[in-house]
Amino acid sequence: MIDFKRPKTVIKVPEVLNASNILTFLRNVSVIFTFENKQLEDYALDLSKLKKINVLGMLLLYKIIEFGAERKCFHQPHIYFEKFMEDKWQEYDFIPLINAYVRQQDTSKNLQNLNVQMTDNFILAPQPLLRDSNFTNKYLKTKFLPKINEYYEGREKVISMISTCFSEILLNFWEHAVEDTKSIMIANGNRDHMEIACADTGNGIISTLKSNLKYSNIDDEKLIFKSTLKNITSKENTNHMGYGLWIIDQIVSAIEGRFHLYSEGVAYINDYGKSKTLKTGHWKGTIVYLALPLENAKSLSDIEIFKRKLSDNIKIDFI
Amino acid sequence: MTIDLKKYGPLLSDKKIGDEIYQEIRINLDKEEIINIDFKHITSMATFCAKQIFGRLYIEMGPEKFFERIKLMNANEDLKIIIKMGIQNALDES
Repeated sequence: MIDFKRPKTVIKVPEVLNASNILTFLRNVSVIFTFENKQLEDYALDLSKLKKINVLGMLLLYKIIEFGAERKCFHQPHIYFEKFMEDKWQEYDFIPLINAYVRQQDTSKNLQNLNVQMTDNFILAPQPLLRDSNFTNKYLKTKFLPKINEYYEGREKVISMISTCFSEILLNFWEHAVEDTKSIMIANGNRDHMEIACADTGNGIISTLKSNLKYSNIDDEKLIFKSTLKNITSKENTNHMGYGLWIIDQIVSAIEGRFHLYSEGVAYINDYGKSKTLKTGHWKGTIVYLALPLENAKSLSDIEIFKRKLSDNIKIDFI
Repeated sequence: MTIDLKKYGPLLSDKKIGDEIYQEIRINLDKEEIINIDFKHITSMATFCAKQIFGRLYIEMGPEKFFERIKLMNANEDLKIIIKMGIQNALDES
């Protein structure tokens, strides 16, 4: 029997959408990146089967909805979802953003009203990482970081490790952020564990690196692996050192956490110190996901490679 | 004199702030012989900023003058590593 009420094409989101089950999602939504300005009719995004989702899943769902709306991919698309999803949007403070799209308001205004929720767990509501954004800077410094310091008071290594990861992620996304492809960061955590996810739909890490002739002929899968090594940057001979992803990768390996990097059809996955690369569905832009167990948090000074690599010839008067 | 980085902190992670700190140190180097830079309220710093500020100063001033005139106060162990990385990278490229 044909159901004439349902759209002809339904993009399905699987039951579980987290760091261990992201590949099906990437495969299913990759087609949306080819729909820019097409205003296709009879399309639906089906979230009704979702039963489990984490910060990474929440962020990617939001970004794909945002891309579809801002890039005029669809004409009057449908989104199917159940109470579970509605609750999750509420929990992660996405409702103002979703409503803004429905009403076609300026979403940046809604983002400015978001707060850090602190209960037993904390959630960093989705934050735009806009270049030269005083708002983002102020928000992080006056609201988020003081809350992190308060929440993890007395656990200096935890604070130091989280701050190092944030510094490098923020700088990377800030430097590559483009207004119309808003980089968004979201995080949550508790006493034992913290997850951070960042994503954009701009120029991905693969395209960015390939803009440097040195990397232009390297296979994408090899290149995403290379991006996690020291000194790999598209902007050589600048203050960019190409250390950010390398530092994060070393920290994650040392504490047996998780570090995932997805960009333009390839991924680098470091799960508990074991890393691999793979081909995935195309994501326009870059996705970074970090899961940090905090029980054995390590600061840079605990990790041998950072101590070994430094020359003793540099003379600095630390007092 | 002492430059307290508190007003830029607790995270030094963007280019604009890095530029401002570099300029503040540079201006004061013209007026004062020794500059103390206080990291007491700084939790972390991106390697980019370390190179942008201290890598640049180290190259411009040379190791001896940098050691004599720039004093880094209250930097935690991680900050010390990040600052060294920034200087090392600037030296490798110079």
